[in-house]
Amino acid sequence: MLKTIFKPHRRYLKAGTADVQKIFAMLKLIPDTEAAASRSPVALALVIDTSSSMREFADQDAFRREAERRGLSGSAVSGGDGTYQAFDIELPTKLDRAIEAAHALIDDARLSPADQLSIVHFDDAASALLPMCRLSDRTAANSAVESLRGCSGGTRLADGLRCAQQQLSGVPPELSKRVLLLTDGQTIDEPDCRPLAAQLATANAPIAAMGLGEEYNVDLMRDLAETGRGSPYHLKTISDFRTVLDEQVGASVSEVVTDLRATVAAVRGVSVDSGTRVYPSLAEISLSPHPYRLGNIPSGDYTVFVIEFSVSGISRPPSRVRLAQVGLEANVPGLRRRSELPLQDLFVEFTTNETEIAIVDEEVLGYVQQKSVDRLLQEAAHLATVDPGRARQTLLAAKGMTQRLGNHAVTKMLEEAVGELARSGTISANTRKTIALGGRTRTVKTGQPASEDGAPSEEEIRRLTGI
Amino acid sequence: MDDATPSTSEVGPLLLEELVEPIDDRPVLAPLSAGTILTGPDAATFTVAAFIRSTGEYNTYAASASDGCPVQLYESAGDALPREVGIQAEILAGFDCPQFPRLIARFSADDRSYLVVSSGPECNTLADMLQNPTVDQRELLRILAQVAYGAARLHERGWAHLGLRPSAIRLGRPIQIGGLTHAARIGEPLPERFSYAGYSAPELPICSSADPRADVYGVGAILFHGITGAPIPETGADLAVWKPGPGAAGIPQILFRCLGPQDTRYSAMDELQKDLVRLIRRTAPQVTHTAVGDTTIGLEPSRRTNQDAYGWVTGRRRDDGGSCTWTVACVADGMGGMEAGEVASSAAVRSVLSLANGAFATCPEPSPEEQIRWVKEWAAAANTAVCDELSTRRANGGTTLTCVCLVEDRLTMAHIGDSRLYLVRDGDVRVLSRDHSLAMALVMQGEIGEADVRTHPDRSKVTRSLGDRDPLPAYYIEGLDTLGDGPMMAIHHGDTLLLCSDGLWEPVLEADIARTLLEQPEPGTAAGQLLTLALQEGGSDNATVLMLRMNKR
Repeated sequence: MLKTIFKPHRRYLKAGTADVQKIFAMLKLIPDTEAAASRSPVALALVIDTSSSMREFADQDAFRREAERRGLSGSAVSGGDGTYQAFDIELPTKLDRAIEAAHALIDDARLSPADQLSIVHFDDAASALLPMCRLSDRTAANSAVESLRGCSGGTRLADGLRCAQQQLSGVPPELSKRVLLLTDGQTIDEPDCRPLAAQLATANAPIAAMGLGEEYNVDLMRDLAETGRGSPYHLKTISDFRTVLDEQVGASVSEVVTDLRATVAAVRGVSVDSGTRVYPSLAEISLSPHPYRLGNIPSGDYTVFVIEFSVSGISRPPSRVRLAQVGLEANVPGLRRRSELPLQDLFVEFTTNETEIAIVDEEVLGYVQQKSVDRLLQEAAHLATVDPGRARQTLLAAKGMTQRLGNHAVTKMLEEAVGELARSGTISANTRKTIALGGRTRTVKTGQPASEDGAPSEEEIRRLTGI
Repeated sequence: MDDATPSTSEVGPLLLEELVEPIDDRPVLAPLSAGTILTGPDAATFTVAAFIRSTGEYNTYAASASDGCPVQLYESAGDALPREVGIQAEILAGFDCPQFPRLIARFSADDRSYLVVSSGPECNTLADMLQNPTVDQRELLRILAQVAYGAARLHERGWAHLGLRPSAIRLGRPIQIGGLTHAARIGEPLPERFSYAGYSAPELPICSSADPRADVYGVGAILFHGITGAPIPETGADLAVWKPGPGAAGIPQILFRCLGPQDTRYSAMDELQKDLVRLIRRTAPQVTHTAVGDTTIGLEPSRRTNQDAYGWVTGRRRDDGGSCTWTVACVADGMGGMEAGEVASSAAVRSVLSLANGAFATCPEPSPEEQIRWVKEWAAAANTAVCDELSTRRANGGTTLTCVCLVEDRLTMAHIGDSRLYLVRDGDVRVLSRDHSLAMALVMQGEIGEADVRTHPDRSKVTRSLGDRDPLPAYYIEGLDTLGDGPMMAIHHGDTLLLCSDGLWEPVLEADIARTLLEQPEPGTAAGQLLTLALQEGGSDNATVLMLRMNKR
């Protein structure tokens, strides 16, 4: 089902001490030949914010130029979530662009008639404009998308999530599912959102949480994605929506192994501190309940997790010790089976030789450092408004690490943020959101020369999968 | 799971049975026994004292050289040393830096290779010191300033240590930096990936070549450990959210230039070393000097003038480099009729204080050598001033002079005549000057006891004074070295220096001085009390007392 590599960042720990020592263990997985060739239907729930603010022009610069050319002055119109300017100008709105992207998704050739789709909108209330159904009738799906144009009002995101949950409830548990959420504003029912994300996580339905523009709640988007082992996205403009949908469709159809669960056992004096998916995107793994839910595994590329252990309280003599063991089980819906993988042991040698203790695995440490980059980015986003000097230091620290790791995309993003800070003395809300979420969706593989697109070479895949 | 104890807990992990495989840690090379004598180049011998450890590739021993000096001895099979040991030989050959061991010898014998390096006495490492919950911040800074100095010298030779960590730093005077096994030539690729948890720069395991700024990070990481009580987590330092306490002023600035990205770190270790030294000075305890003086004409009806003079001048510099407090104080007892005595003593005191003011204005923080030299130069110049003054007045006379120069806690003295300098410490009184008098000469010849000086008929006949001749011979002006403890002395917190003319020390015994200072801790009151005592004892002569107390806080 899965080819597995499980190894610690240090093979040696210090003997004769009860002090805390850390072990970061990398769990690197890739579907084997048989699993990779299987393809089961996917179920997507497209959840779109149709509040009044989505009727703003998609390209504000184009709008301003046109209004100026025609000497127009707008009148304020009250909407459910504030006011917006009303003009008689034929320019596409954000909602128009979102509808275009939704049409593109429906017509995506990678989706088969057996795949399922639901279209949910939310404003003052939420409803399924397209109840979950197979994509055998794409015309009906496209008609449902068009009906988004008639919606308007406030922002009740939780209602949208609840509706999506209902739509996904009838989908078989082993299938790959996904919630594709788009919002551009603050929601008035935030307290209800996180519990719904947790329920979706239980149903193994990750959320691709997309925030558009500067008004949405970045913390909420990050939490929704994290809880559901999904990915958060900051969309600078609505045109990015189509790009993300395209990426998400690709990811969904490649998820040939679903609902991976890890049972971890450890000896006395060893505890699990954290679990993190570090590639292809970054998300924390909830350590409760146990077994840990690791989500779905796509074919064609690695998925990498890092489990952080603390070893303390017991002074061990020089010896080789099994500290932990990981058991994995998952569905391969395309093969209609749920399988267990061979147990993975974590052995470490305790020694008094400091030179040996210092030896580290470059690949594992590279992934650990990507966790650190994310921590620095969250700090920088927070500091940007209260202490620009420290924010700059933190961004530079993160940039230094992404450069060394070969993460060109995040390095570029950080260079832009540092440049903005130098020019204006602050960082715009847009850039803050980019920083806070951007690093999570753009991790890279480590321990080998980084390729621009992050994909493994044919040789690497052949070696790992035995194809 | 195969060995896991079943658990109903929803929060993992499960408990796993511990599988332990013992390691065969027997040395690959049979260790030499204690007492084995190895002969190196030039017939130098090394005697094995104790086997320390084996790594599989080589053995390490404590040994001693033929001159008895302790050495560390490495032994490996064959003609070549393993890289871990060989790298030490390469670095230490010809490297004369007190912060690093010296290469003593490298030789082969009986199909084994040996490396011998110097070894200080057995002592703790910085790791032991950092085990304490409270670390003396200044001591830590002093140690790290030495580490930075040593590392800077290593960088000058083209090497980066890359493994700076507390366990590699042996405490002592000076500290010794070891653990060179991962050192590499600057700019060259690293042979393996390594990281000392808590102390290695984050780029080290993934960098392409050796960069000395990794050592800057190492020093900063040790400082971080000492200040926060824990090493930097392997996931990185949380400097952005670290809230330093009020006692850490100056440390965040250094840490940010050590622990940040490479291009924001100190570009040279010497810069870091200078900042550490500057911080040590800035955080030094504040020294204060308190001076008071008083004088009396005495009870002798025939004495119509007070021929004693005294004075002091004090100053304090404070800037980014720290602070420095200094005081120059002197007592002079004039001799001669027709106002010659008071003119001479006054001229001597004015001359010393004027010169001291000028010297400290141009050099506010003299070196110990300057401080020793200055005070004698002032006394010599005072002699010229006295001679000039007496010559102008065509008078015969002279004066004693006891002059002290206290810079922070460093004391120097210039002394001519029979005025005295006492040190009062913890209730004990010790005289730091030697009387230049006939009576004292008799004491030194063993003809009378020291206690007899006070009552001897020749006690007022001085053998040296200012105004006798100009210039004075070099031996004429005595310093603290007369007592055999060197020309400079360290003064402790709470010590009192007491300068006085013979009008005080003749009638007032040392025991009375000690008791008075115990009963009257406030110097001004004590000075008055001592003069009262002198008068109560029938003090006929002019009597002067000048007290100088040093405090640190």
